[in-house]
Amino acid sequence: MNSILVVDDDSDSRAILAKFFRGAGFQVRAAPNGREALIALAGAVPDVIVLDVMMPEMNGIEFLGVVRSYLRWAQLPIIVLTAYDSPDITEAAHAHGVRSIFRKASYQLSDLLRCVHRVRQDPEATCETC
Amino acid sequence: MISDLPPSDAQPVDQQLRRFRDILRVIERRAALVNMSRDDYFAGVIAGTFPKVEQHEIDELGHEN
Repeated sequence: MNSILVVDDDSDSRAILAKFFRGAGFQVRAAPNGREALIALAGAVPDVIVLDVMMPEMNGIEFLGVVRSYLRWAQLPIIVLTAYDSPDITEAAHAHGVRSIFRKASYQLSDLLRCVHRVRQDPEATCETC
Repeated sequence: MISDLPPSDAQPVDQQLRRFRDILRVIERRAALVNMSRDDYFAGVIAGTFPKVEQHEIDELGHEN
């Protein structure tokens, strides 16, 4: 079964994304921040991570910095799903090899799902995002 | 007491209800496209995880009479 790790500090967002991905056939785990996500990652590596950016304790960009510093996780497919439309976030995500960035205000859930399948097969794939 | 407050200058209640029903219809349509229930999808919109309903989506679907 395909597995996914949803990282978002908002419990409602985590729950609803987890429910959506479960419905799409994924085995889902969820974490409320980057630190908890690292702990989850150390236990079992998911096929894909869907990552929020603005989170307490360890934000999404800090998480990316740690994850990408490990060779074994250097190619781990990660999709950023953020409420913030900032060039700084885009730039920082790109610097960590994340090409697929979805804005919560304007994306289509079906596009996100397609992107998850795509990056799972090709970690360097770039999805068309809003 | 709330009943002592002057009438709101916002939209009349029936217009607000109609608009809310229009929004729900858009959400229902979006939810069906990704095999989710309307209520779950609505929760995602409220949480800010899913995009808000845009006026053009309501217009495309047509208004409820």
